[in-house]
Amino acid sequence: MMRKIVSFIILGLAILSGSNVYALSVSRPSPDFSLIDTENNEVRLSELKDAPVLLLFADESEASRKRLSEIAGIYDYYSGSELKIFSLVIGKNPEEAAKYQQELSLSFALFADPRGETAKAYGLKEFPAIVILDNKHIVRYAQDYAAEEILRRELFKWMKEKVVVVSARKFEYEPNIIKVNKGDTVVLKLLPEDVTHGIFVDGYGLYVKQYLDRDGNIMDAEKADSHIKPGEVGLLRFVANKSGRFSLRCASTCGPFHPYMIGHLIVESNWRYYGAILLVLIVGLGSLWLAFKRKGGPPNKLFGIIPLNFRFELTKFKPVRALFKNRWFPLIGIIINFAIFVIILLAFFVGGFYTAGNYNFGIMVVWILWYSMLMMFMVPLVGRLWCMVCPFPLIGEWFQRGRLVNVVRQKLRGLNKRCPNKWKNLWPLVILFFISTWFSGFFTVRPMASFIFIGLVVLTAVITMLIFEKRTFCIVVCPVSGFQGLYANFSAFEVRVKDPRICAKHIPKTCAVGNEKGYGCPWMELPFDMNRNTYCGLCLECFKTCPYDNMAFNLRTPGADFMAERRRTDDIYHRRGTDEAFKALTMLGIFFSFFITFQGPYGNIKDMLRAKTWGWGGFLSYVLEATLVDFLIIPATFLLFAFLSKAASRNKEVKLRDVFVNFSYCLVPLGVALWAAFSLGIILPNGSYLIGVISDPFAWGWNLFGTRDFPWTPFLTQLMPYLQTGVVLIGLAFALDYGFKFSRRTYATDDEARRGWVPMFCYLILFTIGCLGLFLL
Amino acid sequence: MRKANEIIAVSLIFLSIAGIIGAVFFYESVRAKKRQAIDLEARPISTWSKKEIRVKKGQLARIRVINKDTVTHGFAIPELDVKERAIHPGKNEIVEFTPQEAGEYTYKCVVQCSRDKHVFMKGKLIVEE
Repeated sequence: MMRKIVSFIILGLAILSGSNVYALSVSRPSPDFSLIDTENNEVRLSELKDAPVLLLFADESEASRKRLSEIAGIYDYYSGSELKIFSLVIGKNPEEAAKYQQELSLSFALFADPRGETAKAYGLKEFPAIVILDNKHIVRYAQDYAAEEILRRELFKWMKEKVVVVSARKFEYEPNIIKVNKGDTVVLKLLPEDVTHGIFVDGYGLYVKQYLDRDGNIMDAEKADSHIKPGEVGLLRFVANKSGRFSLRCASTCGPFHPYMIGHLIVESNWRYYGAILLVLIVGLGSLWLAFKRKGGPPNKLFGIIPLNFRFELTKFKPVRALFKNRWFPLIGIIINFAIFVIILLAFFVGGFYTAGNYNFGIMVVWILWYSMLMMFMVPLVGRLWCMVCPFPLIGEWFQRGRLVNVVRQKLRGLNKRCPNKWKNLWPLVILFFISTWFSGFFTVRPMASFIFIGLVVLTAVITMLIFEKRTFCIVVCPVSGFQGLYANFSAFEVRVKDPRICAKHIPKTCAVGNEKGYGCPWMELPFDMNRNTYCGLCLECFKTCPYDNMAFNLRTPGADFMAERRRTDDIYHRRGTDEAFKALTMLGIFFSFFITFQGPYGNIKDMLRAKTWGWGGFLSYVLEATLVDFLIIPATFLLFAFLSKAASRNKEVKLRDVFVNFSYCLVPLGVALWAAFSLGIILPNGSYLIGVISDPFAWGWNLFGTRDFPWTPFLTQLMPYLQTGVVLIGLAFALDYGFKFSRRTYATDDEARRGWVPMFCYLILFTIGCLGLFLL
Repeated sequence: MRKANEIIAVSLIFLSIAGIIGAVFFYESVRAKKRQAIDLEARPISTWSKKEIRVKKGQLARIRVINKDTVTHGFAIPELDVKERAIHPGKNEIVEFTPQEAGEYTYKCVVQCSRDKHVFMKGKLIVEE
């Protein structure tokens, strides 16, 4: 009985494995063979050292004829690689095989196996059949013919060279994510489908140096010229000796979204991401230790060592003070920027809707240079530094004052309407900035779109300044003002009063109302009372108007403003509330959308943003998704953790809204860091275009400084993941340290603060690990 | 002194606007005169800015092919032995040749610049006596 069952099982297995009857030869060394092709050339397996081999065995059957025609696809795919492919005809001699080859119009040579001996050596009985040998000529596959995809998968498994054919179309590679193992030899074949494309591998710094021309000949690319035309095949062969995730970038301008055409190469195993997670946990544990180590902690020190009230006054140096009091400062900076903006707007206009943004002075200087400098240096270090030298309000302010440099003591011109109180917070900018991001797929790449966008902003500035008082435009309308103001709370510099006692006795407060030396604060702040950077535009009028030189420009502990006490003005203007919380939250959401869209490998999302189609499934879907993520999903998740924080604290009286708002300031240092890391991904790959664009700003063929033909050269991309991780970790460290301070401020007792901190701590850790996945995974 | 400040500031502003725009167009017109070439722009989608170009027999013809598109185009006049060349976005190239015979020839784009309209990207080169 047992024997019957066992034999049934064996028979069953044999039947189930069906064609695996051949499998007996798999994993065994291949027998040597010698083949003769239709031109009487002989090929011996033993001579094909270290080359993987694919053999197709065919006879005269219908099925074989079909497969012989199909196998041309495999020849194509693996041309230029190490794979040797032989198609054998059973039962024909070389002359008959030649006739057969002609009859089927095959583009490759047929080999003859007249007595079927080679087929027998592999134990093949039915045809067509495929045999695959790896580099050491071990039989890895010996079965019926299978679909090309399956054969490719098998070859990918067993060949030393990992051949990947990558099709390129606007603006995606297909496959857009390629996975190989460390140590693999990768043969990347670039197949442009629609227009000329190229490929560059981040981290390895590789361009295409060889390509197959239309006739299949291997040609050397000129000067590592990376323009592969449709009909040609770019060849990129390299050893994947570095593990991690590397971006593939298109090296040949192929359309408006060319700078955003990205693929991902993942070389396993991705230890960099695991290492980064470990670092996040170390930073987190370090912060927890600092927070919990003694009762009452050192609440007024950052990281336990830097005093929050550290101040170093720069204006104590006479030349600095003199500079700040000079009416030409910062005006001269504004005028220089104004001149540069004339060139920028001219370049936008001349560029039109259709020329390439990467060769346009305006696009490069604004969206590559200025934007990266803003998010990497200007905002993190000095907050509203750009506002100090921004040329947008120049014309309007000239009109209001009637003067550019000098001071006239008269009512400001224009309608001078009061800026309504309900607008003196960040809500208008939360909405306006968000809406402007919908069109980033246009104005960051099409010169005329930028002309319209920036032109509208400038026009709005002028009109607003004709109607409303002072810098209402800057506070309520300018798209970049919102995050500059909020993130300025984190910056390392500030304008503050030195000795408030002097101000207490000073009437009238000339810093606010002006005198013959300068104008009253155009940002409608009260410099004598100011304790946060949010609404200070660094215009330096208060330095000029203060008769006691009581204003100071200080280097200070980053983020000191988070601990600044609430002032009456905050409540009157509804600042320091959900407006700032939502600014911090939406900046995260926008970072997320921008990163996935512009620096990710998903062509369908890029198509949505660039409005390949406008309606459902296109632009409208992008807007809807962005709105849901920015205004619903991210804030709701944060609210959930705020709720958990309150629950963990066991404090029943504290308002959930206060927990939500207070902890939202953790997202400021984190946001600053994420945007700085994002900008690294803009300036390092594409900064080199700036070198060319200063010589030929309008792409008219000029060569002012001889640098016009400087080639596109991504810079330091091998360092990018480490720099990005480092920056994010720094942001996290600040977020965690301040976060616990916020907890102590929100809750009544130390114990509540500790308990309430844990959920929020977890949120920040998880969120950071998620964001690092964007950069590293 | 203070009035001078104001005048300087105002002048700087006007100089920025008028001066820059003026200098840019002046410089370009000087270059265009020196260049002495016929401008031919490649535009989206797969279009030449000129449908026909006229040159004189026996005289050096200079055509400046400018890529005002975001994809790579090519240029060649096979009948006159003007070799195939690729012109990348933002770049331009001056093509020189001296036609010996009068007649009508065709110039065309020789790098696939779109899936369906590339083959139609042609123009007439008319060589007059």
